[in-house]
Amino acid sequence: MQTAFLFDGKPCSRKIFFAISILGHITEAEKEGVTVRIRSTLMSIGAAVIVLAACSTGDEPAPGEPEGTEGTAQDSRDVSVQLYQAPTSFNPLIASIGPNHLISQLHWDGLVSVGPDNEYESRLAESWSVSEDGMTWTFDLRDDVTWSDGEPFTADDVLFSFELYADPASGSANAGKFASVDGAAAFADGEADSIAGFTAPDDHTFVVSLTEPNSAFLIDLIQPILFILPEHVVGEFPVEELTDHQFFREPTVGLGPYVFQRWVTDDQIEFHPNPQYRNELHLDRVFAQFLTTDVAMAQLETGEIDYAQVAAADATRVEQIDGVTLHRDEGPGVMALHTAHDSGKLADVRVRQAILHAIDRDSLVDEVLNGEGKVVDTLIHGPDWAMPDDLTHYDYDPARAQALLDEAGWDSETPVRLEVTPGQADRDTIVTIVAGQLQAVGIDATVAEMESSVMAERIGERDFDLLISGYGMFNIDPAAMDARVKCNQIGGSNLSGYCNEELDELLEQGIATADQDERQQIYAEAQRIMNEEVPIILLYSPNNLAGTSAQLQGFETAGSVSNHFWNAADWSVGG
Amino acid sequence: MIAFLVRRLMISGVVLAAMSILLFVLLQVMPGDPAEMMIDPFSFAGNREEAVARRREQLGLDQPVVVQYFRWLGELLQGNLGYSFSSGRAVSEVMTTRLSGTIRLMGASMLIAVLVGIPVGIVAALRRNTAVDYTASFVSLLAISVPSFFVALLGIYVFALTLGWLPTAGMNSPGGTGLWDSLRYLILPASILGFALAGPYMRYARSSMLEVLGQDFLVTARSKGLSRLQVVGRHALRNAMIPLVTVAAIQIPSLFAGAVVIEQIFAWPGMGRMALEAISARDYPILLGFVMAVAILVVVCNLLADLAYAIIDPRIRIGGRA
Repeated sequence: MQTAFLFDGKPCSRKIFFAISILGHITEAEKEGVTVRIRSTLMSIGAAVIVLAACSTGDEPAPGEPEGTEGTAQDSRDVSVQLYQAPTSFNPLIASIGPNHLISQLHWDGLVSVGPDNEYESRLAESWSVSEDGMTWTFDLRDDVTWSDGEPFTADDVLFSFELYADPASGSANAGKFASVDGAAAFADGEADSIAGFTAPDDHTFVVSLTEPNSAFLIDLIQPILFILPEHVVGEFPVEELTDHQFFREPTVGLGPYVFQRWVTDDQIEFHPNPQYRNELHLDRVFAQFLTTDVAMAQLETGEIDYAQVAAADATRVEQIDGVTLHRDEGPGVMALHTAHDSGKLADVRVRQAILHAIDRDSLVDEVLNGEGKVVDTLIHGPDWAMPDDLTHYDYDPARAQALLDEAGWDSETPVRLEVTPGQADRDTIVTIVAGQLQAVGIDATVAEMESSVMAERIGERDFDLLISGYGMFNIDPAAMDARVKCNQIGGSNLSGYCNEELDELLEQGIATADQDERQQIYAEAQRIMNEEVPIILLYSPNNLAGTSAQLQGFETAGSVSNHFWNAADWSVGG
Repeated sequence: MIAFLVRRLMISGVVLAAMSILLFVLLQVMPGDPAEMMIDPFSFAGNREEAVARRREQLGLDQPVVVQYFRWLGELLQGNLGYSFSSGRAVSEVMTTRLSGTIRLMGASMLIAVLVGIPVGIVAALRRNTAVDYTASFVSLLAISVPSFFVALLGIYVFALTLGWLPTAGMNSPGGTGLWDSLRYLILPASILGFALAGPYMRYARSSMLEVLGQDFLVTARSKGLSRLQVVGRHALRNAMIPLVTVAAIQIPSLFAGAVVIEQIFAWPGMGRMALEAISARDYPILLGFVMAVAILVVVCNLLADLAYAIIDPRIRIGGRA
């Protein structure tokens, strides 16, 4: 066939030349009558479009690169993964969206991560230890790690990165986590050029000294949050310009198993194996692409993609697709309703307890989540040692709810808004159901849409009654709840503005204690208070779900959905 | 002609300037602060207020609106559209990559719409009140009234999921290059968008042709003894094309609107999807760039329609000179 040349991946100019010569051939052969002229015009338009399409498919493949993979997808060692939002950057400093964490996980690496059993896994840090007083953390770094450009990875990179994370001027969203590092305050006030508490005594040791004991320091370091950056590259840029720096859009150096190669389109990225990676890699290329849930489910079914995050509502369907594996894990986060405690509307604890009794949470899990989750009674739902067995379970009991409301003297005229950011199927359904159930016990509840663009402002203004939101990693260390309920986090991640001095004291003790048995006692007491006081109205903890094709082998979930690529180095193709 | 062109261009300039001021005001009125949004309260650890203030300063949002406007305008006149709030990339760069996606989709759809809509409309006019005419009218009504997102989902279900002939979404297979790869991905979205546009084209072509067919000069041509092909091809068709050119050009902006929906469903990295993402992220520079691009497109399409008119119909050209 004459047109076969168009598909062979020859340079664009050659194609245009061929197309023109063919056209010339056609017009010469049939130079008669009006119909022929129309036909040849149509053909020339058609040919022009075809050539343009062929020429506009993006960059010409570089010599030696595989091309024309169409039809050979099964033989190739390529893997295509879904991102549930458009990725924007590889900048780990700024507060970022899940997809950026995922792509960063391929490209960067961190000291520690979360493994499948919700335990800390060694990454760049081969091992770590904490001094008896809990004030000094020492990390022994691997000595077989090299940046993708061949520069050795050393403790200086770690030191450099941690100073950036602790420096608000870099745009760091994590500076608050290092407030207790020795010298952090002096650095923040401009009295010191560096943070005294971060030191690198030799090339493969990194030491953090704290001003107060912290037995849960690791939880602040785990992937996909704190990635290590290359000092020899990023160190050249002014700190103030890092937030928007072009380097984080197209990073030229990486440390993870698959490093950034190019943006294929605006929302599709190509990754190549890191030539310097410490282990053998099994893939030729990884493509990460933003796809909405509907499209992703369809593409998982047709085999166009190899990995997708799965919504609870789709779990059953995905499970039934031939060749697709559904990965299911208990999730680390919670879905909860938040109230602004300082606004006073739901200040009476009996009202908050009544709300819990009024909501049929078991049915929410069954109906909305398809059973893909569990009802929780405190924020923390793991590890096992941190879970007291004598918590009150607030079962569905409208009569009890009404009694509690009467006791509290609740005025049924008081309007209560259920704020939700529209467009997320699970939350939209939940607030509608919850509004009905609250109305049934005499609370004048209505659903109020709150656009994501104004949410941060409204939280800042303390202007919300029952805001639904999901977040968190609450199954690794109980200290994870500090950020959500401690008094000194008000104005930050303690959205509700809840403050309880007794609880605060316990949490301070808990983080300062190294002995697990002692911590168990302390956190059991802390959780009893949370359970009784209901500072946050907890609905459930959703499962962590992912679907993979038969092509992708070695995939394993661990931690949260933003952590799905934690073991990308072990991925291979097969099936 | 040149005076006409100059006047039209000047009016266009004023329209665009007014447009940009209106946009700036609208963006200010729109609820939501980009700096607040970027510092997510759920994950930020540290002094959030300070961080928001720093970000606002970095983005120039701490300045009064008037200052922001003239800064933007000044940069624009130097060819700089600013930088995206969310990715930090140059707006011009983002728009160029996205524009190529949209042009590919819109060009193919336009081609399909013209190649299908106009011939069918002409045939329907020539075979007026026959089964052919009725069928064509019915199909065009269907094309106009059935929402394209529905047709798109149906198309995906049938051709991608059930038959497996075409890919479900996207612009190319991962890492795929070559023509066949791009064409496979183009067929479904372009046909669906083209189908929606072919409806109105067919109707305009039909009515325009009918009007011409009833005119005296065609009777003269026929009585001169010209063949049917020559009467239709040379005399009727040419005259019927004049209003069609305007319609075709004016439809381009509405094609843009249709492309927003199709791009969203087919995960097509084009301008429409970019605009939707920019709106939800309050990415003002991208949004400004996008709306200005659409405004320019509308103005240019109208201008082109006028010019094409003058070329096809010499009477207009003479009238313009006089």
